[in-house]
Amino acid sequence: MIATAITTPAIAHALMHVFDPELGIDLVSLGLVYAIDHEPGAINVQMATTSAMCPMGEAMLDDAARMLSHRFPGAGVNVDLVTEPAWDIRMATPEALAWLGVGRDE
Amino acid sequence: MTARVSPHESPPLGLIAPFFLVAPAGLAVAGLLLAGSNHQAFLAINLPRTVAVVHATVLGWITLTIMGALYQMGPVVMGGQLWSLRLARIQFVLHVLSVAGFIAALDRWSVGWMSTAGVGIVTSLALFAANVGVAAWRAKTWTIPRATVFIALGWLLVTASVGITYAGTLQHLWFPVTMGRLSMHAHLGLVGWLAIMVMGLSYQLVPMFNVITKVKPRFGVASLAVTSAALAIFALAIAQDPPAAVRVAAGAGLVIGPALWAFDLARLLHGRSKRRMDVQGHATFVSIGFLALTAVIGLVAATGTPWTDDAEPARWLLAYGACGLGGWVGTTLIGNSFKILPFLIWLHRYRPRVGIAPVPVVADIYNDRFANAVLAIHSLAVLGIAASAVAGSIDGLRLAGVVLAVSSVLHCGALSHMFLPKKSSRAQTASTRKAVTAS
Repeated sequence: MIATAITTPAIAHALMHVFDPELGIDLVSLGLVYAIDHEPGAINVQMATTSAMCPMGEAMLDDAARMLSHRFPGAGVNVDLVTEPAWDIRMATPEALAWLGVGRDE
Repeated sequence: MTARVSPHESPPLGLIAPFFLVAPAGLAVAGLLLAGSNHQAFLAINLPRTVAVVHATVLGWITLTIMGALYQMGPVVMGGQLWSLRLARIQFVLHVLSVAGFIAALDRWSVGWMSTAGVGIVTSLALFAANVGVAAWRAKTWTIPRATVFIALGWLLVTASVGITYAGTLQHLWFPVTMGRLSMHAHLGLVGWLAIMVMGLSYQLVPMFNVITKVKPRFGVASLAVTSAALAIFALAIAQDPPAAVRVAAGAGLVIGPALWAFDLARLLHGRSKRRMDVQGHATFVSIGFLALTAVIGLVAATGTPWTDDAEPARWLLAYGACGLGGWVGTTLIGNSFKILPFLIWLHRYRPRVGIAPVPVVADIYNDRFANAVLAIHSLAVLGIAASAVAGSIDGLRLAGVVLAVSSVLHCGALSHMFLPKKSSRAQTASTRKAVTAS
């Protein structure tokens, strides 16, 4: 496997392949990824979950870390859960909002 | 507070799936028994065929499904481990065999076999309560669903104790099982076990599946507490075979808690972020409609003869039972079965491949249109039973029974189809990629 250069767009692109299994929308499009930092050999991501009620919330952090470790082998990956500010549906992209049906009957 | 989820903490798919896949057989049996019923069904609610239909529905379909759901939710949602997975497997076999024997004994009114199979059912329920009770006890935080499990399990054991006592008295003639005492047993099960379970777990499942973050429940604890208190009063009153005024007053008390819950649920759903509704959302609205119908018909039935043909006093009671069990509880079960089982399949089969290969999401695992069709056919069957009972049409009742059996077969087919391999349908769109890259 060819190692991918660690850049913010490359990290975001990788996280766009991790989906909220219930909503069927990737973490980036949902607006769950709050911050991406990287330095040589290390990746730090801060992300939220859609709801404190969602039992898959913390599991998605593991999935994101696994995706980044797979995409950037050798890099140290750290994915932290951020609770403030709380995630809001308005953080999602227009495409994600359209998928969720937001705006159709509001 | 969230519970951490991992495939290692979730019970094996092979443990949970049989509960969901076998349960519709209970409803199919109930439908076929109804299809073979005769005009006597309108004469009394305690006829062997009617009692068999009710127990096939409650113990065979509803309770078996709830058992599967709770064996999963205990570890996955509440965060507490089950006491024993092996015990759960044994309990499943014991429950299925005992319920099958019990239904056959009820339909033939073989009191000896009713007692024998009844002991098996009570044992099964006790094993289940112990296993799930331990999981709820091991959970770290107090939530409405966790409290619900304890309350509902308590009422389940009370219902089962009363039921096995009735089986004993039918065999040994200790005391007569009057209509009031029968009603007490029925409501302990319908309200104490099923309604409280549906109401309490919905406070976890509805916000989770509909992405409700802004609106908070207002009457969660109150609705459960009021329902439990009202049920205790109702049970004590109705067991005395009271006059109509007392029946209606006690029945009205029973309505308060579910009404608070329905109001709360409507508020939550109104504030949902996920506006596009799937089968679970549709089922929630349908179930609230059935709840309203159940309350109205139940109160009419409680008034007694002025509203019914004196020669056929069971018609409104049949309609009431159909709307409550098949409608309110049943549609809730169907809706959530298309979430709970796909989620479990996803967790075990596809999540280990996240980050390594494209995997389907939960919505890819079931066909939402087919699921909605199952919900619609089931709802029509229940409405058909209720309408036929009120109208006194035995042909309508038989036809509705056939439709109910068909819906249960379709439901089982839809659930079985989830186990076939699925592909991801969530290709990353160019627009979302562009938007993120630009940011």
